[in-house]
Amino acid sequence: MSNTVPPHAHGPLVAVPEDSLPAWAIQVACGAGLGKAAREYPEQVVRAAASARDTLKALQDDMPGTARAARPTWSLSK
Amino acid sequence: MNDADLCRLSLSEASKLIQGQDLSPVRYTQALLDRIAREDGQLHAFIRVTADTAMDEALAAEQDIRAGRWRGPLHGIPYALKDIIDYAGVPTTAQSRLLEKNVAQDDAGVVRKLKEQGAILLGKLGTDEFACGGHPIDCPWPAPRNPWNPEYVTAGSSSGSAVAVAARMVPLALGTDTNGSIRNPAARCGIVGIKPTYGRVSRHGVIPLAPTMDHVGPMTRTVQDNALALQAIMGSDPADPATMNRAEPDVTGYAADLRGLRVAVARNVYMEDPAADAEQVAGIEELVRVLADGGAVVHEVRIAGLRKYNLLSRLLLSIEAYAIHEPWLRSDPQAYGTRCRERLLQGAFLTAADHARAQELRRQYTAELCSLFSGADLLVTASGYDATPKVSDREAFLKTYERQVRMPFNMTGHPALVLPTGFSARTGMPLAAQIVGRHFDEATVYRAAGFYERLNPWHETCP
Repeated sequence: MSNTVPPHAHGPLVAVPEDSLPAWAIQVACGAGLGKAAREYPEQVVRAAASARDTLKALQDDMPGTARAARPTWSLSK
Repeated sequence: MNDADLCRLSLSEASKLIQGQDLSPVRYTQALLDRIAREDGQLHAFIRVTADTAMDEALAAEQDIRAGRWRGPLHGIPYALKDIIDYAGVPTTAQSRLLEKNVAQDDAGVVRKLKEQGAILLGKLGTDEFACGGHPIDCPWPAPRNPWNPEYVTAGSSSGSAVAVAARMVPLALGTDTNGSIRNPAARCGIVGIKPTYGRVSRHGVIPLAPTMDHVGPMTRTVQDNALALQAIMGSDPADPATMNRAEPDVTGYAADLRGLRVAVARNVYMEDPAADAEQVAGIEELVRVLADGGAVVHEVRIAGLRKYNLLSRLLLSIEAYAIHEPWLRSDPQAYGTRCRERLLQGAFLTAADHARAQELRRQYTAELCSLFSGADLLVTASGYDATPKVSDREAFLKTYERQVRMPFNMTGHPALVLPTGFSARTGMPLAAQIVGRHFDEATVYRAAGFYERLNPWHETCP
């Protein structure tokens, strides 16, 4: 299966375009050690990813709290 | 009293008769076992009936009571357990091929308490696989069927518990509730079910689904029975740190009226939804009217973010459940039933960052929901506001999971009880409402529910 899947960056789930979701979901599942599930139940894996994405999208407006929290002024690059 | 009469006894009625030695626990247990043998072939409430040990326990209870060693209201009372709760020596299967041969080595915290009080286990009850919800279709045991009409859903996941109690096979069952799994089947089967406050009842020895939202609670036919059962199982357990250092008040008291009680009603969730079932709505409104007539002061509140609360509760469940099931999903995904597998896989696509954001949002949403209790002792609202769908109508069934007010209180930990409010004139199926209390104030929830039930004894109608 992995040979047939184009490479995808493991970007945030909510940003994955609809047409890329199946390949993204299979790749992420394989990377998470769920290769057996990805091989035997690919449609379920994709539906599960879609469902998780839809939930995150619906909450997105309320969820940036942590991301918006004040950052420390120091940084590792200094 | 014939066997049919015995099976219709409430827990508290049977308890009084047993205490007075007017009812033999052996005869009572045998009558219920006979009923299970007669009815369960069609209803599938039980995964396993523990008839032999039940009769041994009944005999021991009878001897103790005759010798003057009555231990309390649960002594000699038969009960059954959702099959994710451990009873030493008996398999705990979670309705899954993964655990078909998993024999419990020790008792769950709640079982230990029930044993100490002399209750009698009749068996282990059907559930959705791993309590995940969704009416099992390809699991080792058949899905429990609704005793009011097997064509209609029981809902889940404590479906066997609700069916066994409603069908008069047992006066008490324990269920678990992570996203409404006690309250939904209790509502659909016309019984009383409570999700106690988070931390009120030990979850030790219970297969977890989402540990920050898992609750164990009693399912009974009457409010009084429910209070007696909760009193019996609640309390601290060092094996479940969430329960530590909690006071154990008497939750079984009753009042003749409701003067002084402040009740908030969240009407907007069902009144502003044109698709809400008119009979469910009428039942909730009648409950509010009865509470007001009893002296409660009623005011209206709004649950503005219901859809988001439900979504966040599901998101948290996905993350926590995946953390538990990840090893099996990697090694044996084929061993899960179709619906459970797909649901659990959602967590594979959520990250630590999603979890951190979800936890932050949980604090915000919990604060919003707690504010509903500002100036109120109780909140009355719907459990679900759809009519009970048929098993064959999967689309309608899935919609009921979106259109309900149960999940928010798993997230917040408030105690929440459902009770029957009548029957549909169209389908004959039970109707229900929900009463939510302040944290650790189950006593007030029971006070209001008991008051309504005394004036509206729907539990006296049998399937």
